Amino acid sequence: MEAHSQDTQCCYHCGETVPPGFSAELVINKQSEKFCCLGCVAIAETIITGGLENFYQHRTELAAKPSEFGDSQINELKLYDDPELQKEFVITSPDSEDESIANLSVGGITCAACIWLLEQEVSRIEGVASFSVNHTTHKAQLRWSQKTCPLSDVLLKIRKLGFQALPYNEDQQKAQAKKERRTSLFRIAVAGIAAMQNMMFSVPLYLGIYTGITTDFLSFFRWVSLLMSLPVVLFAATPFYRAALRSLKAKQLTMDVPVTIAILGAFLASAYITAFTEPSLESDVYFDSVAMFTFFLLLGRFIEMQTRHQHLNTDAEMSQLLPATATLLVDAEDPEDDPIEQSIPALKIREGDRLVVKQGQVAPADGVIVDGHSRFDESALTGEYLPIEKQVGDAVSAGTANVENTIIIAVTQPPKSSRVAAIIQLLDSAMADKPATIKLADRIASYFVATVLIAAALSGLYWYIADPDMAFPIMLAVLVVTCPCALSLATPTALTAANTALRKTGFLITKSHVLESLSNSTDIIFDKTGTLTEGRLELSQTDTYGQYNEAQSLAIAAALEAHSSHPIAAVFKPFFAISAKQVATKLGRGIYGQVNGRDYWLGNYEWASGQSANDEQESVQHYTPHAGHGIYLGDGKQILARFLLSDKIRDDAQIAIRDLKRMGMTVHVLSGDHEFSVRHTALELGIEKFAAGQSPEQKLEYVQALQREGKEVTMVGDGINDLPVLSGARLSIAMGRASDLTKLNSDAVLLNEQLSTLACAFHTANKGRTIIKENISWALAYNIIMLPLAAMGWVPPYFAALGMSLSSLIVVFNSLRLKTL
Amino acid sequence: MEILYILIPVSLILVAVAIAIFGWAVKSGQYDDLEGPAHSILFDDDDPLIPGQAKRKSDADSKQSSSHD
Repeated sequence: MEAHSQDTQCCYHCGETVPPGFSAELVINKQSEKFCCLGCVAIAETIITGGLENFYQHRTELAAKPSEFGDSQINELKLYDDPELQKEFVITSPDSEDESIANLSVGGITCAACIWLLEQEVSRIEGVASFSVNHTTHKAQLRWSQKTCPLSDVLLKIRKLGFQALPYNEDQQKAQAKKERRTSLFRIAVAGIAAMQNMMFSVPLYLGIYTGITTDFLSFFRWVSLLMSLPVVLFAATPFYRAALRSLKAKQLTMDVPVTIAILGAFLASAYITAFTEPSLESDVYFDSVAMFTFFLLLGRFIEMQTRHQHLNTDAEMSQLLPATATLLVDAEDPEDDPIEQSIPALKIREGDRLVVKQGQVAPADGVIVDGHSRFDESALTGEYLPIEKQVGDAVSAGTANVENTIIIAVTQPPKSSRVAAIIQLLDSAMADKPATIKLADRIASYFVATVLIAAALSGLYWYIADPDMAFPIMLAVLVVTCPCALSLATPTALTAANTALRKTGFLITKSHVLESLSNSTDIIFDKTGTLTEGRLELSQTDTYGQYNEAQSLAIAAALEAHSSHPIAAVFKPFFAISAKQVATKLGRGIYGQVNGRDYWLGNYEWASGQSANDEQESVQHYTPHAGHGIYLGDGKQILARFLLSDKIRDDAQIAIRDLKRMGMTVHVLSGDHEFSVRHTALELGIEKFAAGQSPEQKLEYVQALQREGKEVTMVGDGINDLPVLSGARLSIAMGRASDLTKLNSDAVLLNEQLSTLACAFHTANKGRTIIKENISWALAYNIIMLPLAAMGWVPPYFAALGMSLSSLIVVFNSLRLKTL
Repeated sequence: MEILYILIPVSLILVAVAIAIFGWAVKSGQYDDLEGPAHSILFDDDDPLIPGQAKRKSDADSKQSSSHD
């Protein structure tokens, strides 16, 4: 990664292309390196002056591009020094009065070297006692002295290294989750250690079969094993019992029921043999199997939980969508003076407050514009990819970004009751309506458990009549032989293997039902903006009508746009070569400027040609019909060029849609964007079913209607506006760049953003399903063959133990086949 | 072989101790980050152990030791 950044024009820090005309170099590790922006240079300088240039050698991923950072951001960070605000997230250290402890959530970490860099730099700040970042959760714990160093200094330092750190409040729920994680780790340890010890103790028991063993020792080792498996049965395996009880109460038989029966059955049978029968080699104990079985199941569940947490920030909350601070406008004491700007925490925003929303900021609350005009990027809420123009009196939604000018809004709804909050509430109700996926294994488990229990009871009854002495041992033998270890392992092992394989291709599964839902899926619905398309403007076509060719027109346009902060300007950035003079911008119309001594107008048709808009209607028909946003370049009399900007469809969308259709899937597009651009995208990709202008509520309704028809719906989306529909669909897949909240509420995440990976996921799902079926068939076949034999009293004890382990091993190895796709 | 009647209870006590130690380690948060230590060992600044570099390193440190304790 480092090598190629030297010969191409890529930023050494973040890897983005160095824009033409920008030049900044630094000597790092004795080599001159280029940078793409002042932000990256500043960070690299901070790193080098700290003597930490090793960061660039250690890192395995490029750093994230830093966001803009100015005085206003510094002022915002200063807010966190407010003792009242600190009450929420700072505690005093139990060891020392001077020391405070705060938990921070750090953004922008891309690899382990980032954490090393952060820990090194922050620990050097005077007053910081310790600073450590958790690699999995990206949460940091800071211990420092408030007297020597205010919190904002630490946050500022982190910011200067190109990361964002915000205080993070560990509420009860999160503390609970942390405790549960620790407990489950402890359970694994107990089960593991007990399993190993039990195996040691069972060696003399097994060897005794061949070499002979005195009954004293036989009895002694059995008692020791019993003692050793007590912590497993009484402590480590309790989650399974609780889950089984829950499912029984819900009148369902899930896999936890046979697991519980297996653990308790084998343990009780062995305990009975140990305590109440004459020690002899005719009977056998299964304490080691119990412990090992519990250990494997616990380990499997822990790994599953771990993968889920690794890629998702489980603390995603609404607050991450909305800024934590706002700039309040307060009237000065002297009414003659201008009002004063004051930074306040977002929690303190009240209805009627006047807030300043600067360019590039996200509106912290719903409101109405009282001063200024600007454009807002509402794509997160509506799916519209073009920023919407807003003037005095227009409503602004919390969570939308101001892309143009500084404006003042009067708050109509505080953050807690904003439109974003309403969408999130809709999410909860959608979640409740989500059709439950009944897992194949659970379905089989219910029949299986019933069969085993009836068989055990029947054989017990038969032997009670025929030979009462044999009744109890045989009933136990039936239960032990049919111990559903292999059946319980059938699904989890296959799922773990398939998940690992899919994660390597860039598809992360976060819920256990995904593999089955994927293979059942009949309909797949895509969101448009950001899912089928890349979600940003690109130049799709340039038409020239005057004396200039394409390159010349683009260079003139780029010269003018270089003075604009409008998102459209970014499209022209790569073509920047010459500069413009006397540039003036007229809002809602375009830009004027002089390039090489000649006047040019860039903007809408009217602005560029100096003609009235009516002509545009005619001329549009005269020009080729287009989709997207047209920008005209003119000399005030006639049009010289037209640039078509559109949201580019992902490169592999075409292939992915074709593959999905070939698999027999019905493909839909569901978007909040305008009919015209949705239709265009749908037609280009060959999708017949589409709906445009959909609100989050309508999207959810669309999916629920399909599901009522009995369709199995898979939804692929990315925005906040897709949240309710994602949680309402049978299976939901979020794009990798979606917000944490969206990812958290989805069943799977397309990490690499390659739509073609979806087809691959469907393929693996089908294969996984086959393997699960094989596993279950094998486990069932084994149990069904052994059941009558045990019922007849024909199964010798050592054979039962051997069969139990062997059938489990076969299942595990079969599942491993999924790892190689 | 009667020694087993002593040795096995001893082994049980050892196991109990092992579980107790592990429980303490989990409780004190040592297992909260299962990945970090694997990486951080690679980043340890071990170059001062090489004599030539150690001198340069200490020179560099003294220059910017203002913020370093």
